[in-house]
Amino acid sequence: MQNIMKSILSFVIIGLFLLAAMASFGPDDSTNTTVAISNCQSKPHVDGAILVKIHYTDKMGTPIPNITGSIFLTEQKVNPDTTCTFTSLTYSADVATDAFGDFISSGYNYSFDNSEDLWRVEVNMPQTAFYTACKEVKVFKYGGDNIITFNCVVKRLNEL
Amino acid sequence: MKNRIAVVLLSILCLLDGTLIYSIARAPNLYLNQLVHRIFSDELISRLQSIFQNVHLPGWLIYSLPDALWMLALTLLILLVWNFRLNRISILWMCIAIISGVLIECLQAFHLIRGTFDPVDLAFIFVGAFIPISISILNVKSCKTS
Repeated sequence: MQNIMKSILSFVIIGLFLLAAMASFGPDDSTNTTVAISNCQSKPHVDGAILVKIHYTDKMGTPIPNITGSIFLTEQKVNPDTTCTFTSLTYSADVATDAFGDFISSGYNYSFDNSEDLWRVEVNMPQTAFYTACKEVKVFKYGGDNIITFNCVVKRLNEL
Repeated sequence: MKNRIAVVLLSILCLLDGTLIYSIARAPNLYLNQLVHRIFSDELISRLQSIFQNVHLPGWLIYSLPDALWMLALTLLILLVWNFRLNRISILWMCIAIISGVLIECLQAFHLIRGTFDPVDLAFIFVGAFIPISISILNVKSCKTS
């Protein structure tokens, strides 16, 4: 009897931990680096370059210059078979906003031939002495706009 | 009894540390972080982030250490339920716990669940499971010899 109670308790503990593990995933279908894909379809080949733009302002719309941080990019390319699996490459770069609170990256070349070929872009601008952090994720897919714009509207820490 | 309370406290500490790393260093749109932001105020999270703003946290600490801490807590709690005795049923539950943790990582390798398979994560999960189990085995051995 005691063993049955202990087994039930063990089952509940493992279940709770599995729930916690699932909670570490995000609603944008992505975790730290990749995006879940499905329904892969071949498409005409397209090449180009993506640009990452960051516009950093406070909630009054005033641009915030000299904010530093990082961008993390993941290039996901669907493998040329029918299984909808993919290969990914990751890149990162340091960023800093200019006097107008803007940052524009150099172009990252993309080559798409599947509906699920994509680039995931994550902006990570840590909190400064005066402003809150900005962390956002956007995904550029086949047929999407190659300019990925992040409008970071942050709060002053003394207003929290 | 004191030992049992210490194990519970250690498990809670491991869980909180893992969650703290997520709150400080991971994207706020993760379900876990959304939950943390709901429970605690944005101000508290911002304060915590400001403490670490000038500290360069290595990748293994941000992405792998929480897995190890959670696995450590899970293994400790399962051992606690079975009074740190290793018998056929307790070992079975320990195996289920470890396989669950490993499976979540391995399924990512085949893109069956979201996320990216990382062998470093897997290594940390094994270390998290190994520490309490080895202590338990040593404890059993010392009891036998004394």
